[in-house]
Amino acid sequence: MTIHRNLATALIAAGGYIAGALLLKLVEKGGYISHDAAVRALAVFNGLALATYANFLPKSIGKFKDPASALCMESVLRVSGWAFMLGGLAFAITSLLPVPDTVPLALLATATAYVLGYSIWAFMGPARRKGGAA
Amino acid sequence: MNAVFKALSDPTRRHVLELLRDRPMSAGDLADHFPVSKPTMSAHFAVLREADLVDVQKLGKTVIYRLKLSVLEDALLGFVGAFSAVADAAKSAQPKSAQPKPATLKKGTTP
Repeated sequence: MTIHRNLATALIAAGGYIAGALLLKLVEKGGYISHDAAVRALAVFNGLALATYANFLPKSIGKFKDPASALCMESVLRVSGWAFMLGGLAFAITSLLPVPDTVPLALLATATAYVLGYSIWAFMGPARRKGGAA
Repeated sequence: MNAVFKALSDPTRRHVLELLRDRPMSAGDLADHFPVSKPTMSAHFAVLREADLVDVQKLGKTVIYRLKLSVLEDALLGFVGAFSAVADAAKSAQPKSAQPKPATLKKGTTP
């Protein structure tokens, strides 16, 4: 039942995403907004979608067999959620600002690198050997 | 969302969430931190489960509670905790005469 609900939510989100992109393209073709504005609006949409997804990331904890791995997974999901939510919001905000295109991407890349680094540290680092992440 | 606000409005439940932030804990371990009866703690756990703020898993005979907060719920917990700490500090800084007196019972009445 949960899988069906998740699938339905994902399909609705994907449909909304495609409809939004098509609408932006139509508005752009109609000459109401410039190509640059359409691209920026889509980037804002992407950033907000990532922030929304990241908000629920820490809730996606599964079943566990030993408390140490559960603690690691929990802390990695929490850090990932915060990093991607802040990264997504920063991506959306900087896409609106008159800054080079590389700035929003660099912010997102920083969030991704932080999550990767933390995940490696949590699962392989000293905290894991002691029986749990920080 | 209403269930989340209801769950976070109680200091005991907030303290439970703060304890679970450190590590997953059994119901017994959690109950040991509070000077309240086990049925009262069970009621608190039920409210937290209903708001989907904790995850429950049975390992053998032990029931393990884990934190299950979204990023916004996590931020809300931090905000409510900070706000209540500030409110408590302001309350204790007030002169005793300015603080509201506890309700007193008249003779012959029952609570």
